Amino acid sequence: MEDFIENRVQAWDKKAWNNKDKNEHYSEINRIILFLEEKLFYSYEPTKWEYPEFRDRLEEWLKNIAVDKDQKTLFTSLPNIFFIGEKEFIDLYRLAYNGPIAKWMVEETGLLLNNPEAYSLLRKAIENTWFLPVTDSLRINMFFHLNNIPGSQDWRPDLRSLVKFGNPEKVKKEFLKNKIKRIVLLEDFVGSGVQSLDTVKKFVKTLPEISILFVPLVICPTGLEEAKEIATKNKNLTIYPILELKPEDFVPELKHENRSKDLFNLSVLAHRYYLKTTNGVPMGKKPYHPLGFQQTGGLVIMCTNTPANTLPLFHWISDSWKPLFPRHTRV
Amino acid sequence: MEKKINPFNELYVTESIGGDPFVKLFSPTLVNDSLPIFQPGNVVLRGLQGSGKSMLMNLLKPDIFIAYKYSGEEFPIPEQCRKFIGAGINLTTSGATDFGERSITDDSIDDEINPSPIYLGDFFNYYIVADLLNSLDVIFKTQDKEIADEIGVSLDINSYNKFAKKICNEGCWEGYLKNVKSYPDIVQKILERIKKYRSFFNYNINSIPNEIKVTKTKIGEPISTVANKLKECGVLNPETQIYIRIDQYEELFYLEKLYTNFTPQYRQLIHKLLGSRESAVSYRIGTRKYAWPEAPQIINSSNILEKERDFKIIDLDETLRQKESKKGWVYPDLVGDVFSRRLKMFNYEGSTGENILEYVFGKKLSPEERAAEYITHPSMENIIGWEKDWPEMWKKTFSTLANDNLLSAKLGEAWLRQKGVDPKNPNSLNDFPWEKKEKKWWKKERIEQALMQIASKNRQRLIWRGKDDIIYLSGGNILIFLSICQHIWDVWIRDTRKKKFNPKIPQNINGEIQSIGIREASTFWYEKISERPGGKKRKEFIGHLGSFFNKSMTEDIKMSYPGGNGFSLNLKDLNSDDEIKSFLNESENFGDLIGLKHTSKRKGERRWKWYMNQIFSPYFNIPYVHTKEPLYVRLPQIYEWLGEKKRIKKMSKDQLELF
Repeated sequence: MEDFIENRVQAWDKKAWNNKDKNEHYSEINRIILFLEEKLFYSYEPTKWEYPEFRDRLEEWLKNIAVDKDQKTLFTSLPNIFFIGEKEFIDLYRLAYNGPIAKWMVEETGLLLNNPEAYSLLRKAIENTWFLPVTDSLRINMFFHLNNIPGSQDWRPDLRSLVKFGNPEKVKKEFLKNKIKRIVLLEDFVGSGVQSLDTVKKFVKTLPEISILFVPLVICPTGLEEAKEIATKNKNLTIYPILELKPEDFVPELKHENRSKDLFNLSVLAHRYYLKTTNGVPMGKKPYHPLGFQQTGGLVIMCTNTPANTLPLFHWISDSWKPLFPRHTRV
Repeated sequence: MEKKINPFNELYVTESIGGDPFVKLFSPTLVNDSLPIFQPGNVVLRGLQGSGKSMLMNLLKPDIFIAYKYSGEEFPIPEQCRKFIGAGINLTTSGATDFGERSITDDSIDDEINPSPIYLGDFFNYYIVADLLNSLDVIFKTQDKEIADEIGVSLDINSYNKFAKKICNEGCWEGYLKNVKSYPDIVQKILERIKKYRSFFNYNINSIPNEIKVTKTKIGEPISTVANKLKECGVLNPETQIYIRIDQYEELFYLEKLYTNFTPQYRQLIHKLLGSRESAVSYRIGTRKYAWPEAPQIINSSNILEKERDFKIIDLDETLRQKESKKGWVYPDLVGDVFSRRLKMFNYEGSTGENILEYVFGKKLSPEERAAEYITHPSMENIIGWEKDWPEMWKKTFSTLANDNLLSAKLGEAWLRQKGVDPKNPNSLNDFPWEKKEKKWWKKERIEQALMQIASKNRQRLIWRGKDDIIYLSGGNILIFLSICQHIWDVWIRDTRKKKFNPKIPQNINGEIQSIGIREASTFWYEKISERPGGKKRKEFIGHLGSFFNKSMTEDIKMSYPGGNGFSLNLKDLNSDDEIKSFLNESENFGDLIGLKHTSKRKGERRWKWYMNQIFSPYFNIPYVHTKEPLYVRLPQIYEWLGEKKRIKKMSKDQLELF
């Protein structure tokens, strides 16, 4: 076989066949990766211009490592990635609006669903509700379009910028002037929550008299725990995530040997190649840790970008490492 | 870089295909074997998915005829059979299967009768008539006298008006067309009725409109009335035949399966058309083998359709299946033609002659070449399982032979284990008796098993490559053939992804690429078993069977059962167990097993034998070649393959004998 990836896959398969190892099917994994490439991976936006071909990036990524066994671990880790593509985002946006947001609105307004006017009253209530993204990674415009939300909300700033640059008193005044009774905060991904939850916390305190719903579309266990704590301390805040990731979806720290063999092997690899991945940057500085920011061990990749909580070996760019899903960083 | 397109990506090119691509893709190879379709009389065209039924039936459509005319290509039907007009219904795409989705109530029908088939008959009448009028429209719109004359269709608008006047008062409509005056209005009114049915099945109206309820028609009657009137009024030439396609008849079989009791007899309704012995139109029914009953009964009657009198059967599976001798086997020519048409359609340049498959995939490797490929380090130990008590002199004989001919050494080992050595002539082994001319059949039958054992001993998978492997693995099924090509092309594209697209037809695609592609196709077809009704059980059965064949053929070091990739049952046993009989029959009908009459080695015994569809062979790493004698098994073994161990325990001990 001439192609590097195909060549590797066949060699691994042959070896597994020779060793009569029935649990290893590299051709099958290759088929899954080809399928994921066709349906999801192709849509990764940060590479659309410069490195559009996924298969080329995959080859370069595997070649980061010379040891055959470790290349195999990288390759077999790919079906474990939780990739959120364009279509999945559309579903999450719609699910958020028709599910938790609608339910919260009904509860907030005290509407009875057997009221024949319920639908129009609910639409009216939406006019006194503002929808804001917590950071600029959530596409609020798309959220409005997909859900056909009545267009009474003129301003849609992201909360992080608002909190950073806005005058709290002025913000408060503006909300009261517009007779805003409720605010829905949306975020596409909450990992450890350091970035988004800090912002939410500050904002909630600014407007204690307004009911606020925070809807993370995808949230990690640490983030969820933190979010719940904030909600307990602030009575005007309700948290309603759409998709909660479970601890077993993450790459474990080395001490947790009882997790899946594949993920444990990936953890070993992430630690072993950390300095190669970062080109010598020690732990603590960006990208912080072999298991990503806050040692989350995330395997989430979104078509829009890769969160910092995901393992750096998937996204980190350095002189000695070519990533599969290069992360677009703010700074 | 320009994306390379796999010409075999689209496996199912059937009735959705337009006229021009049809002309390019259709292979006329099967037409001669299917001539009754283009001659008067009812025909049942039977075949597995992918046997080419729909493509053949497409030739009956006027737009296909017109496309041939304008393309300059010869219409592939003999000239004397071209005077016909076709119309038809595809039971899936027409919405006919919706009749199983919503029940119909009708006070005028007795309680013990399910009204659905009556309404399906009515829907069917209107759909066919609409399509027939549409076919006329297609020809009329060309205003091409040559085409119209060849088919026998009038281009004179007056004949259509005359037809319109006469047809609407015919009793077959039960008054539905009574106030309609012109030809376009008739078409409109017919389409309206079809639309009403759609609205009902889409739950947009509460019930079937009364206008339809009081004007239900008898299946077939409006069709033949329209046919006769078209001829009477001069729209059609008296000699022009009217052929009505009914495609995907098996959908009615599925529809009937939805009901646990009080099953509406949809298929029997269609049988009524064939049993009417009506000469105005001829019906062509496209069906998968399993759906066509042994004794096709006519609805509300005890009459059974008579083969040859009421209908002819064309069995495409039979036509395409591998024959004992290659002579007269149409399938290799068909796939060669289909293959070269696909490449041409996708702008591949170069020779597309008769040997195209050999040009692209090369020849199948000889047994000796394959043996050499399986052994990375040639040595006697890598070929022969040596017994400690075998004398040194044998070891020497085999060592010398192994250096010279690996395959022969392996066969020699089996010979030795099976036959031993004549004690009076201990040196007889040096004459290699298995290589003698009189033992050529012994040797021939064991070559594939020997190769399998060599591969296994060297921990290698079997090699699949070359024109013959691709043809035989596809087992006479064009869809499987295309799927094999699709997978090979996929691997080839992946492997050459960095190279610029070269429009020249590739020559001798790398053998490893072929093997990988074929294995991928095999996995695809094995996984696919469970997609069809009853497939879960059949997949499990094939899974057990394949693993059993692999294990037993590999472990049979005496090579006593070289036909161990098939099994045979005594007909007495088979007939004593309805469940097994119907399961094996069903597996055959779905194409997962191939059943053949078996001439038993036991005198007077009647047996039937089965092999797995050849495409599963790469998945289980077993040879696809069938030798004469399969394994002789009894019912408990079948139950074991079915995963029903409890039942085996209950069976009497004497049934447990295996071979």
